[in-house]
Amino acid sequence: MRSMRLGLALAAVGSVLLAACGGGNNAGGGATNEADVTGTIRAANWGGNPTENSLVKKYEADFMAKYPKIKVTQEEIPDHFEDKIKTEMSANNEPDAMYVSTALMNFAAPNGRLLDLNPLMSKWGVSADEFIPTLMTPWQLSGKQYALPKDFGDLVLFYNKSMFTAAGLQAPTSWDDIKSAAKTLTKGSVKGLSLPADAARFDAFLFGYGGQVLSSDKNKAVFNDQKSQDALTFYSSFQLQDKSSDLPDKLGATWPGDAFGKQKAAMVIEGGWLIPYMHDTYPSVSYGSIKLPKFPVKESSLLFTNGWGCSAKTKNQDACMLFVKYMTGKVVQQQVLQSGFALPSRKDLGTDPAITSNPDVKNLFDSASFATAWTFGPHESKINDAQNNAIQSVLLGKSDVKSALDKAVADANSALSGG
Amino acid sequence: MAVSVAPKASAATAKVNRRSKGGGMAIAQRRAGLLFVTPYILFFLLLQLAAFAFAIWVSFHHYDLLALDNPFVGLRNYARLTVNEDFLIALRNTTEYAVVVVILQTAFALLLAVLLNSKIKGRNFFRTTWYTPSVASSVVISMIFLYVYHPTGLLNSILGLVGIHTTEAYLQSTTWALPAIMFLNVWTTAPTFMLMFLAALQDIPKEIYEASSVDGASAARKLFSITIPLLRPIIFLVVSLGIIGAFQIFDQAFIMTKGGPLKATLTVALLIYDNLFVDTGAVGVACAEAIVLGIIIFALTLISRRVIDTKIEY
Repeated sequence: MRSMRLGLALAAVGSVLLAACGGGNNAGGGATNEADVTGTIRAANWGGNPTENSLVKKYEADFMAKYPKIKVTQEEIPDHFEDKIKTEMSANNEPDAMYVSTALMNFAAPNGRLLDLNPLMSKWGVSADEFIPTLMTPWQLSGKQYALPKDFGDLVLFYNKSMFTAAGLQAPTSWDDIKSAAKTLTKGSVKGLSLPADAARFDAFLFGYGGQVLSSDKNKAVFNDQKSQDALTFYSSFQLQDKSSDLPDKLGATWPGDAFGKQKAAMVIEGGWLIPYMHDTYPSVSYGSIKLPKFPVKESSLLFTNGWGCSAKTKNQDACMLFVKYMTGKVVQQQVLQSGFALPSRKDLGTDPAITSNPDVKNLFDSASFATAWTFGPHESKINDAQNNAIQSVLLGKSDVKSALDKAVADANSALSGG
Repeated sequence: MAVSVAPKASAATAKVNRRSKGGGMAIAQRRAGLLFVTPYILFFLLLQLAAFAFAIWVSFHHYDLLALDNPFVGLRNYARLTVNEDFLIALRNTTEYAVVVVILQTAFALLLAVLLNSKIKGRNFFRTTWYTPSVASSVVISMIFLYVYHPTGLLNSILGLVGIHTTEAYLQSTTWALPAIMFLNVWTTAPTFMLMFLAALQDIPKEIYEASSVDGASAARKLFSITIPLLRPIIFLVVSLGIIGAFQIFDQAFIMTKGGPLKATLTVALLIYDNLFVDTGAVGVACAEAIVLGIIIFALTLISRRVIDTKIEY
């Protein structure tokens, strides 16, 4: 009871604050000119990667140079980004602007903790048409837009050129090619491929085989049908039947990209983040890429995206929106693209020379046309845990494909039904 | 004492007089005493008792960190634990872990203490080096052991030197991950308990050993008939602290395995964390799990007190 009363009181205070801000803006006292907007905003970004973190710092400095009346304080959260934001939200102390991952979106938006950007977008001249449509949908809920995509990444197949040449192999063009190349290139402690026990890789196969993770109404897990079973059978066949793939940690690597850089795996399925990683850590390894070949049912890849959004409680809505506009705008995204970290979410950068002149980047950008956004709603952490456990128990030989997926679907459904 | 206060009191007002009749210095002492314990009492009330009471309250509600309305659900969170597969797995893992770790670390600590208590050369050197792992933060130790257990890490290199060539990835194996964490924990906590045993060993009167030597007792006989019985109170302390620590195992598993592979190292504390922060709406369940864990630890401590009789006569 006490929490309810407290909750109501907080809600009342919140709405008064919102009303006060809204009133200020509409009464003409608020700024209508970008240069007149003032305020200080706290901006939280996931800073797990030092290079990316320093880039964000630079963009924020550029922003403050452009809008001298707005001050931005960077709050980098190195790890457990959503956990930190969640506790800050429950203490009503969250930053004004923040990275909105699909996971954050999934728990914060339904609870009314994120600001609907639609009215501010029209006020400050941002159009939804500027962005790639499939990247806008993850941030939409009942007609509201809770964040704007800042960039995206998706999956392609990277292969080690020198290992392929040494074995007299051409770049693969089909899954049959990949399967036979993986067998040929497996020698001693080196594997042809490294497929992890990770739904963030396997689901590309699942969708390509015509399977689905959730039913169309998103209320039930359905990834144990025949198509999904075929997908997991194929995914695990590299490791179990052919012995041509192994988990990255069995290859002495922390993730598949690490195994690829150490030349312990000749092929990996990864995203654009591999390019700067290879450049910085393993510059001598020469590699190429192909789009994931067509699976039995369709072409498939997974789309990972992050956005910038605002807290529903921010007192500086206009400043926050201008910040989001800048951070998802052309100037910043062009620099992101050149840094090689991620691909631009904006249509107007699709023909940028940084994309068209680099075949690997072009493969990544083009894969977006058939890739599926990897997000499964409020219970996605449980759903992904269930999927990961299924893949892992099959790859470790603890379970057969059918019973692993049946169990995972049961676990996911108990989470979906509020268990 | 009251005498020294009396002259002052007589010069003061009636009010002070009345007080001094109640025992002047005693009150001053009591006040000073209260003053000294107040910071801790405040700390305890605010950060422990209040948090504990709040956790009990939350455990009877469907509680979401971000929701405004958190309805009362009675015992539902507790009832669900009995059919919650993750909780049962975590409880089994934690129990297994606690049994092995408490037995091994108590035995190991006692062994080290007895060794250090005998007159061996370089005692101070051993005392310092053996205690080092207990001083380092568990997070740091866990990070170091990530490399020890790595497929091409220290452990496999050493095994290679003695002719066992393996690239076993211990932390990714459902068989080895939990034992790997058990070993790490025995290694880091045993030295702390070694110090407690050592202090207690030095309290045992030498005469008893001398008398037994006269009677012709062997070293082993002395250990089992004199040392261990006389150490009972400290064994109880070590076992209780061991149980409490072992059932709360979190950081090593969190850093090294995140509960994997296939929940092989999922512990109750790790599950509580997951329910609190990863799964948004399960704060009530997490609190129920915490309360159950607390009750288990409390009960086990009482039982160990019963089993290890603490009465001791020299």
